[in-house]
Amino acid sequence: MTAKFSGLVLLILLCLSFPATAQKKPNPILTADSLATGNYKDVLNSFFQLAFDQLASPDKEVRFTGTPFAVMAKLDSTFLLDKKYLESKTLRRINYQFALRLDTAFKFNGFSSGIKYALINKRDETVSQAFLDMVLADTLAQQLLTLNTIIGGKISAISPADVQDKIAAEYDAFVTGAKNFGGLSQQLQDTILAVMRANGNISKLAGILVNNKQFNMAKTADSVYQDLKANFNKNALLTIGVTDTTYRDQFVFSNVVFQAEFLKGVNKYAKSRNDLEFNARAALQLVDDTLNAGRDLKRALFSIEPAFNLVFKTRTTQKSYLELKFSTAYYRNVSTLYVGEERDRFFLNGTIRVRIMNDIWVPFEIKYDPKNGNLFGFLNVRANFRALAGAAKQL
Amino acid sequence: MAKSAKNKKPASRARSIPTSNAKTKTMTIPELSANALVAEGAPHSKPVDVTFTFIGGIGQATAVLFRKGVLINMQSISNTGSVTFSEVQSSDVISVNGVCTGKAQVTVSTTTTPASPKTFNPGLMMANFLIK
Repeated sequence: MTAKFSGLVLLILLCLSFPATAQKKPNPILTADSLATGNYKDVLNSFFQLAFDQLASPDKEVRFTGTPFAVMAKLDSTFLLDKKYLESKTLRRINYQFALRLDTAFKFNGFSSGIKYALINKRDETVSQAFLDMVLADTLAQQLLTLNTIIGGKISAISPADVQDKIAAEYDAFVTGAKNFGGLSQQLQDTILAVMRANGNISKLAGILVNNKQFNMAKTADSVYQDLKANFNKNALLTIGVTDTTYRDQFVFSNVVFQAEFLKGVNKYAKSRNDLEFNARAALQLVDDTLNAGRDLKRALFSIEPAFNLVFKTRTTQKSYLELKFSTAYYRNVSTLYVGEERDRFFLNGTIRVRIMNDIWVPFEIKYDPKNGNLFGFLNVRANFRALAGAAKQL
Repeated sequence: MAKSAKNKKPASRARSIPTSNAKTKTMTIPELSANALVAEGAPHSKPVDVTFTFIGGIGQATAVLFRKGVLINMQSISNTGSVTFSEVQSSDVISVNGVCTGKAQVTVSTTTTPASPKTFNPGLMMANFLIK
């Protein structure tokens, strides 16, 4: 049975990963999250996420997380147009989730659901005018835009028409990244350099081009933007939410958790390639007090878990491929104790997240109880969907 | 015949862009006459719309109309919509510059090199549309 389930999980993951690998140019809207850390995606998801939690433990869970905005945009693609997109800010701040809990025999063991709202989300650069202004104020971005404008003026002055058309097409290949600076005709290279030297604002760019024939305008522009975006994505995120779980034989809550979670990058604008995030989570869990007859939610457990997440990124694409999360967790039982139960407990936790595909993460969690010397391990899988590709193409 | 050819006035000499390296060869720019930039009432001039569509984010862009190296008109836009240049001629260039945080599509309402609509990924938007 375990082998069958593992095979099924593997098959689903392969199916999910296929569109991402088959597309040569992934839809840019939907890759807005591709540079985000796995930890960030677990705190607030932008579109859809399918999670297989605690695969090796007795209480397994298959969980689907989505946003109302993703559904609305799927039904009506005009939601992706800037005006409606801005108006839908609240919809995009809401996450909901449904999960099926499974026992060791992979049989139904309860249903859970939850809702989460981002009280503070300063990471969403897609709707931030401040981010837009920051890009436009960047020195290199300004130089590239100025160069483009001046070259436009120069092209308009070329004659005869056939040469003008040829130069316009050649320049377009340069600006879209199809050609490096060294791949341009000598005439266009010389013109670009002459324009730069004659214009004080972009004269420094001329030095870069002379020394680097491999200069690619599109890649340079993209790296300017991605650097600014990566720093913007280190801003604060605060979510609040509630999740509940039902009994397997009755649609009554067996567990309700109120929680708040905070996430913020620590090394903003640092030159280090790798990132450090601070992550804190506080929760109040209400469960059935089994000492009382019947089913209730009279047992309350408070927990707080501050953590640091170290993110390792690739040199060129700046995508995180490995994340190490270290945290301490404090639990306090605020209700009547059972026999032999401790009121306060303390854990040291570690999570290793490995990105195995563009949108698929495998987090492995380790919990250590220093007092009793117990060590627990949990294996999870997270798949972030880019399911709006079709909707975006309809526009 | 040979004599008339010899006496014929030379055509207006093309002006090249000054560079620091005398050996470089740059694009030539023709001299401008008083009527060269006039578009008002010219039979071959036409209105051209440049439509910007920002998808999955916001954006800001500027479209600049150039004729024979001279800036004729400049218009900016900060959400989905169009700007119109009322008198556009063949060989004019519409230079587009801007930023988009999602995807952006720019459509010029006439034949251009490069062809429109042109799609931009999140980031800087840079293009020069030559009017055919």
